[in-house]
Amino acid sequence: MKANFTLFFLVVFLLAAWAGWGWPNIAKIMPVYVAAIPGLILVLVQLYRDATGWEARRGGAGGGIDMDEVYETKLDRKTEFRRTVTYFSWFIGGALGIWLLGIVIALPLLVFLYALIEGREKWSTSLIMAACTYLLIWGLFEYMLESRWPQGLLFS
Amino acid sequence: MGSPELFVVMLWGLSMVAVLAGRRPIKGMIAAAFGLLLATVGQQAQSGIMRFVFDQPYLLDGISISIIALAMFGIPSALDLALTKLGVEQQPVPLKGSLFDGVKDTLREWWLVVRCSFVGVWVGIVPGLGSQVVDWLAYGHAAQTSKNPGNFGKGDVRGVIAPESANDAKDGGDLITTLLMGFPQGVVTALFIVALLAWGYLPGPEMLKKNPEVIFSVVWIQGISGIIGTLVGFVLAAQLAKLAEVRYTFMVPLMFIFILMGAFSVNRDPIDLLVVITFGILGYFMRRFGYPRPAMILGLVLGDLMEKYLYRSVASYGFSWLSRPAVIVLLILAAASFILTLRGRLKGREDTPASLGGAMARTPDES
Repeated sequence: MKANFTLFFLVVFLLAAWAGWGWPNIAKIMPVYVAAIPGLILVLVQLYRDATGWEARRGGAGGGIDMDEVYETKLDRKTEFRRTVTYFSWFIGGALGIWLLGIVIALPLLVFLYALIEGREKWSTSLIMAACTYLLIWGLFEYMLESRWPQGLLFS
Repeated sequence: MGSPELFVVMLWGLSMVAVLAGRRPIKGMIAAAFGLLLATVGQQAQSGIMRFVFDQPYLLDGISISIIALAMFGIPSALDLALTKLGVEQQPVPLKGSLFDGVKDTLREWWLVVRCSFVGVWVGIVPGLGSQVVDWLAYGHAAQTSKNPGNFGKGDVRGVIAPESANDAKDGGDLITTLLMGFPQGVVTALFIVALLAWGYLPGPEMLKKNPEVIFSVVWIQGISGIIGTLVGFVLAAQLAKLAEVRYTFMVPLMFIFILMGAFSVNRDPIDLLVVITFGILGYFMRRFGYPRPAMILGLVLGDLMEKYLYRSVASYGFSWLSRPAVIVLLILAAASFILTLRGRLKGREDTPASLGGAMARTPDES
């Protein structure tokens, strides 16, 4: 599975090298020679390490600290998958809402529905949260700063 | 420093990725290369050639770093809360001890403060390196020079002292070039120069001769503002700590608001939303499979500047810039720090896993 995600970078670097190969040197030196080709070599090294279990043989990853958070969850895979999909559905729904309804309507609506359905908060609490969001987006930006947000597709 | 030297300094900064990526240097470098590649999306300033634009006007100016950073860090962090159905802290954790413990810690680690302050000033002086980079460099330095790097990411106060020292000192470095040389290091210092010009002061070497009192005033104001900021921190620390106890049902929508509003406010274009979703998903997978996201951001931030300096170096000197003494010295220093660190790593000097975060390790609610 780890190798599978490395394949994503393999495809990206391959496409970048292929797309940039025909450009003049001035344009391709950075994307092709500095980023894509070294990136490809590193991806091949990583794929080899993944395929041969190199890290496991050496007792895990190298020493030192991790630059980023280490992904570690105690949830079972089914619950984790369900919650991840639900989470991204809410987020994508929010983005779609902004596109269709405009940010002034969509974000308070998202907050209200998320708190009510996903968070199982009371109606009153959810409404207060939505009202606060509306005050922030409309009150601060549109009313006080007179900065107009674009209207949604359905209203424009 | 000329363009060749600045290019090598950037390269050195990028080689820190391998140092900072610590336990996963190859993945760190892959992420950094990906960041460099993303930095080249759009119309190249030097030649006007469209790169990776695919006939999309949105991509002409490249992809906004702020959208990418928001998506890659914000979305997975909110997901942590949604997965475990907990707040940032599982249960109320009152601030232990006195606020003066922080003062004592800082005084005890005075040498780290001094070292990281120099890191901050250096980052401030180098054009283009900003707050996105300074924290990581200082944290990496603190962790690498610590006898117990395994404690980093698990509440070691040095992991806070180091980036904060560097971050504060960076402003001083920014001002050195802004006031003494007259070129801004970013948006804030550019606005500062505009303000100075409006008052009739011309930042640069002339200012040192004609208006030294203004420069000294700025130095004092910088110091006094730091003290005021500290006092405000003292007053609000306990209240701010309570944010960690807020339920996920409040935090997740709040994060949705800031991520979506932050991304959409960049261009106010619906494609911003598509970009934030795409990079949010990418950020999730990168974290899940151990590809350090900060390395990618570092590549993205440095990529544009590196290309600019590389272009100027080649255009001005051909490839003879590689034989400039300062370039050779900097390349040797960069290579030495890179190789020595990786060598130390291979010897397995440290064996305790640690990370900069680790929120996912919390006990989840299985409901």
